[in-house]
Amino acid sequence: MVDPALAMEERENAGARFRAGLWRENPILVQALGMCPVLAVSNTATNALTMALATASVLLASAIVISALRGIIPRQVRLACFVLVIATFVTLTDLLIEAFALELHRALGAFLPLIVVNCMILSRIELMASRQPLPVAALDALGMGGGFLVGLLCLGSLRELLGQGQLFGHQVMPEAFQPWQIMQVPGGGFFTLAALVIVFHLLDRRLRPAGASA
Amino acid sequence: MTHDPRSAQPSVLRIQAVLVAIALTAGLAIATVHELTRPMVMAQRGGLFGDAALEVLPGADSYRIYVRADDGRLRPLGDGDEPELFIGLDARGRATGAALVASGMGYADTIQLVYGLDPEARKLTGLRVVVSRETPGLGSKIIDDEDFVDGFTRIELPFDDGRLQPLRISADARHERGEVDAITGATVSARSVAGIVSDSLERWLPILEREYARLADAADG
Repeated sequence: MVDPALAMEERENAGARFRAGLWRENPILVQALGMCPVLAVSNTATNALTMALATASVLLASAIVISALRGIIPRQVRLACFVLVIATFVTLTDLLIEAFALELHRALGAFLPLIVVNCMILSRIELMASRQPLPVAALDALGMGGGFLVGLLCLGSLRELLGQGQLFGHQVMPEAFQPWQIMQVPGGGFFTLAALVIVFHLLDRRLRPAGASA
Repeated sequence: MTHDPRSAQPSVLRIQAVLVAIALTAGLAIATVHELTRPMVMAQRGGLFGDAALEVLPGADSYRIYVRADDGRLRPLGDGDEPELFIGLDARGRATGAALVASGMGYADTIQLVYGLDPEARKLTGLRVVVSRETPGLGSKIIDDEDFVDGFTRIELPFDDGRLQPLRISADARHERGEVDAITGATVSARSVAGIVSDSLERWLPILEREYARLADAADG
């Protein structure tokens, strides 16, 4: 039997979870989770977009499966089960990207299989999917995946724009623009991320109604 | 059954049953998708190796593909074969050199590359890494560091008493001794590439010495 009060709280939860991932608990800009791919493959907008989409789809698929299986997974081996499910979806994503976009597959290299150990995914599975009913888990995964995508895409676009004068491979800066080499190396990723986090928090403070607590 | 797995201590058998069931399903899913996508990947890779062969063979604008048959002789590529040797052809159909597919272990995973040889098999005409999973920004320089890649075309293949010596990577490379410039941050990957090319040369030079003339004639004819 489902406690009506609990069901109510959960339904309210679902929408809130979705929005939380996008902004208040953004995995990149607030939680700083999954930083390894964030800094390494965000040198162009296309790489960032593919990486984020791959990560988000793995998260969503794993969250749905784990949430559906949460009644039968024994607590003692839950981590093994989580990793098994996540690894399966990562491998499938890897195979599909290799089949349909070999160039992108080459650009992302070792970071595609490394989605298995992305701590954002594991934390969402452990905190949400393994405890919440399917709709809440799915919306939470969508929100977090979306937040990851927004963060990574901002980072990738900025780095490509300043580092190559291009956006998604198209020249957008005037010819006279001298590309900043540093934006293309991992160090540039750190600087850009720092700048984004600062901008995010300034915006967040301005948007938040006065007197509201963090 | 209404028992809650979170409160009750489940039996070892149940734990194992769940793990095995999940693992089996996962394995089945991966195997299915792998089988389905394999032909697509191979078709793209075949195209990639061909494109790479044209890049590493100056003057070539088409090629014939050969593989080693079981008896050690070379035969044209058949269905289901993976390309091993490309004979480059110029616009008039004359042979311009040979390009070879070689692979070996890199830092992270197998590296597959294509390199070109001039008709006398004394110099490399080019090198392209086609498949690799080296660390982005470090080992991945073996793909896009022009100086490193071009370094292979500057060397004379090092022979000692008619025997080929392994190609070496060195920080102050002397090209006439078969030394290729190293790349900062990609030491292991660069050495792997040199090793892969050396191994492949050692295996293929005798074969080419024996068969290149015949293949080149076949190309002309």
